[in-house]
Amino acid sequence: MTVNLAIDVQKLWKHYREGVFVRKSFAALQGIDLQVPRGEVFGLLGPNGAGKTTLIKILLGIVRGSGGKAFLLGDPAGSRTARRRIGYLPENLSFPPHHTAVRAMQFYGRLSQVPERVIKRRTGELLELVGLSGREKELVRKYSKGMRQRLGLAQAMLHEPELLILDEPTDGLDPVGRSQIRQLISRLKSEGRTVFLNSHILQEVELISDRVAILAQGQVRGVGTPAELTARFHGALASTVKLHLACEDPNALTELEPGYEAALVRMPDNTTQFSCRVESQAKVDQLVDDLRMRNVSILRLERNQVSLEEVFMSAVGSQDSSVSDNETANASLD
Amino acid sequence: MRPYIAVLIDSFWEAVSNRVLWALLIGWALVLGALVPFGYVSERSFQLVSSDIQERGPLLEKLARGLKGQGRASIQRVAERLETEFADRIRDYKADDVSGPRIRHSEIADALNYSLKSNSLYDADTFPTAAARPRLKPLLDLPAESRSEADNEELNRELIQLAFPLELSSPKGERLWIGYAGFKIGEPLIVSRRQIDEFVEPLVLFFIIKAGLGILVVFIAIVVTSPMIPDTFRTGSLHLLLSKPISRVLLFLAKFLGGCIFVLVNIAFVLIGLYFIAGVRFDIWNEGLLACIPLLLFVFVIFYSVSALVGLLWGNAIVSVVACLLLWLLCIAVGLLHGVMRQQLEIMPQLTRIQQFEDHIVSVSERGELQVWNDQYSVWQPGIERDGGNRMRTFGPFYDADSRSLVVKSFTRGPIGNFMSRSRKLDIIRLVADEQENTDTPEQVSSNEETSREVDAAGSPTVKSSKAIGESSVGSVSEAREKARWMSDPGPELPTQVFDVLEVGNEILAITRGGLFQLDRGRLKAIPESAKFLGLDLKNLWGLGTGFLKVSSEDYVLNENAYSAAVDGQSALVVYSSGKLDWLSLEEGKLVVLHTTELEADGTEAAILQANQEYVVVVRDHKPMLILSPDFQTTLHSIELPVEIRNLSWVPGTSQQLIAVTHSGELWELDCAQASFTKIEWPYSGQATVLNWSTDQKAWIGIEPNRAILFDFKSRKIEKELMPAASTFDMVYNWVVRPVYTINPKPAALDDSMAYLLSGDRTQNLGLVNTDLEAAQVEIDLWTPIVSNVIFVVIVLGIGCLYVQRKEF
Repeated sequence: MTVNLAIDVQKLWKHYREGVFVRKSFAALQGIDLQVPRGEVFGLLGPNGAGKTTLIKILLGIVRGSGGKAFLLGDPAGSRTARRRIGYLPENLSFPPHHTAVRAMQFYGRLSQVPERVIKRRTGELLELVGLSGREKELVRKYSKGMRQRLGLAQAMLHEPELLILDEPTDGLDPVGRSQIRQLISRLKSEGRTVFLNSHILQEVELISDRVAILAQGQVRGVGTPAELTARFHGALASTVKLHLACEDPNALTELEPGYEAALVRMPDNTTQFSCRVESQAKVDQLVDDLRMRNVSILRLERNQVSLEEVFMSAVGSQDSSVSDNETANASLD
Repeated sequence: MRPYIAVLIDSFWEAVSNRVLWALLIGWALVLGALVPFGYVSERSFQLVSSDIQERGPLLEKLARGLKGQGRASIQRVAERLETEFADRIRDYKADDVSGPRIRHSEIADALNYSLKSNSLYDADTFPTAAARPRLKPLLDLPAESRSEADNEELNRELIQLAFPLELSSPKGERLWIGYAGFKIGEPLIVSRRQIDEFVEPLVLFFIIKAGLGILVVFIAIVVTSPMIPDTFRTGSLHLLLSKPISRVLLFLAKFLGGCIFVLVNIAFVLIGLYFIAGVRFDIWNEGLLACIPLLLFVFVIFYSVSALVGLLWGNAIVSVVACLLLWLLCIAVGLLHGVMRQQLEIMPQLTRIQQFEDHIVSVSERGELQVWNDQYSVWQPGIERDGGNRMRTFGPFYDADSRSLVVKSFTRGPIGNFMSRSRKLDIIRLVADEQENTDTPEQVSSNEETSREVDAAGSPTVKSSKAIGESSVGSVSEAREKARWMSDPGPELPTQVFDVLEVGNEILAITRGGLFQLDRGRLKAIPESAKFLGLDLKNLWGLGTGFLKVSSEDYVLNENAYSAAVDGQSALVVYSSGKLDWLSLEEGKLVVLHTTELEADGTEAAILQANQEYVVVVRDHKPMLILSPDFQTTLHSIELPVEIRNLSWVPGTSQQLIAVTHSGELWELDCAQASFTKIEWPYSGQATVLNWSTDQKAWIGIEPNRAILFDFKSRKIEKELMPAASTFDMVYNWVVRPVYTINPKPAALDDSMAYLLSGDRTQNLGLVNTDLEAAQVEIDLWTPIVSNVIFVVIVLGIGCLYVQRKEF
């Protein structure tokens, strides 16, 4: 356990057992290790059933781990001391129907043991921050899903927690709302708070996360910055180049085709599309040289960049075929 | 605790924002508002109403005879002042003529009310005793022309009462109606204000609370609160709650308490409203109503704990409500079964009298059944064939040494203390016949059934046989429980409207509404079975007629229920009726009122009396016990009793000490001289039902349920113990029903606690009106249901807490 870690997960296991007469057991988490330093925005990625929600539940003390250890801000995960220092926005949050925004802030603030005067002061500030000022006295049951999500975020920030665990924070929000949430997370980061983000929207995670972990089948498949992950997966994801060429002699391209394992497509405007896989920049340079030596004009050259989504798909893709029948069961638990 | 207070406050707001709550509160406010105009309407009145007509047939017949100039002068005088049209209708009336005119009670009341207006009803010769009567004297002292219309009405009503003391109930001078906004509703009430205070008030309030709140509100509250726990523990809101630094268990309990607050608001609103309405409108300031608030809340808590647990397990409000309904049904079923079996096996078999006659130990059960101990099978065997309902009042048994007979009579108890029976004939049990029977062989028994009873030369009843069923005719323990031991002979007929039958000195007296009657003991002698006269069976003729001779004066009439006791060691008795206490002495075949006094009361109280040559002890319900001098001139002591007395008897050989058996089964010693009342510590404390002295220092004591012991007070040893063998029902009750009932929650048993809070009585009478203090009263067990229900709630909530703590949501 390192004190300057916001989240420290060591060889964490979680087995679920089901059935009354015939007990079935499956591992939702398989001895994962995860460290999130303080002040970082950390994204957790993974398909349904990967164990993301189980991990969050263990961190919050909602379920108990079957093995290994987990610490939040130096305290055992789930302990009351740890819970006092975290803010949590659950997925599919619902508020009691009799709550207004103000009453909800008051209620959750009291549960977090925030002094009354602080609740009073911060309620106005936060509701304004999340764009709910002016509607704070309306019953929450009349709110849209997006508004409820913003209110959930506001209550998570009420007691100025050192660590925020946000489960699908932009779920139900329009693009403007998403952008606002992203700005909010950036602001929290600038205030030195740690944000642990669980989201399905990869681009969003890529945009705001300092580091990302990919979880699949209860195992951490990769941890790092988006760039590190891309680089790490680059080898596996050999990029493709696509060239639009113009040449007088069609045989010039035919000669090159076998060596580059290229695909040639004659276009209606008498140009040719030349596509092949390249492992490195040197290979691209050599291709350009070979084309120019044969007097082939290069009209356009496109090279596909490896995105986080591709990295993600690559990381979890290998499981798709092999993902056991546990998938369905895991999904339901997630 | 702040976070949990936040949950409580939030639950309160959740309840307040609940539309059902507001609908309920508005509904209750409307009901209470509608109740406000209810109240009593009271007016001074001597007019008769239907319920004043006690004996319709005899009254009409007497009036009809009066119209013809027959019967007593007072009756003739009243009859002459009836409305002509009514008089014509009843002129030929005969009670046994079914084709005669059908005249309703209200018509008779109207007709008599017509005669109340008469200015000439009083005549000193016709009503010779009127001027001596305290109630009539002031009116008669007024000159006729000075009497107001109301005075005249009162005078005439009292005179009519003198003419028809048995047929009409005594005038009360006040009529009470239930009124609405000052308007009378229906007929005047037949109960007095005291009875309203002591009986109707708790009963009506109990019904309102039980039916209105105990069932309706609790059920609605369960329906309304059932979603609170499942909603809280729904995934969307639960994970957020669990992420807060609070204990899951306390969260669950705080949420549970929140639901209770909702119901508390409702119940408090209604009961405080009822308290003020009853106080302001009916002058009933019953603090018990307010004390019912926590009790009703507790009833709700029992069901809500189940609702909360089921809501937690299934997460479905409908399942919670269904589970509560099932629990309610289970509790009702177990409670009813236990209640019925307890009444039949623990209360009704209790001994209310036990005495040894010759070799027979005879008892009377609370059921009113005459029983004799069967030593062979160790059971109480029915003395004679039962002739009555489930609860009877049994007079006797009295022992007639001359004829070696037991005299007994049972009446079915009516719901308001009245006695009913197909026949008023005494039952005479010939012990000598039983003796004869027991010496016979079984073969002889069958042949004896047709043999005759003979009277010997000296006239004493030496009976060869009777149809008596002796012990020898009983072949099994179950047969011994069911089959009557003796077959009784029909004896003389008791007078009508009997209140009590007493043995005073050597005489048997019947205390009735119409006065006091003495049994002609000669009528107890046996008659030959086959004796016939002019073809008529003498045995049947012997039973004809009352056999009771009136020994009180003609004008000695007891209007309300009368309670009496023989004066110990004297041929005298004391009688308490309508608030009046009389000392009557039997002198030369006539009863003479030696002393009389009015006791402060409204006269409808049930009483137990004891008297000897030095003291008269009067115990009345809800009144201090009085110890008076025999001439009633001095009230020696007035003692507030800490217990309710069931049975009082003089300690043999003393003139100032009595032993009291209380309704809580304890024995207390009363010293009339010292005015001390002290509890006797003895092995069966809390279980005694009756005490009858056998000798100077030994007494037969009934022990719950139907055991009996002969206890020596000097050596403090049990001389003999009669312990009836357990029946199958006893075993089912003791080994199945009672254990199940013990562990089962008992929300319905809290009704008793509620009744106690409303009435202040630790014991409950089995009838509607308490007219017999000696009848068993079920002691309210305040704490057992509370304790068992608390245990149930703690277990259910404990399971809920354990589940919440362990569950991985």
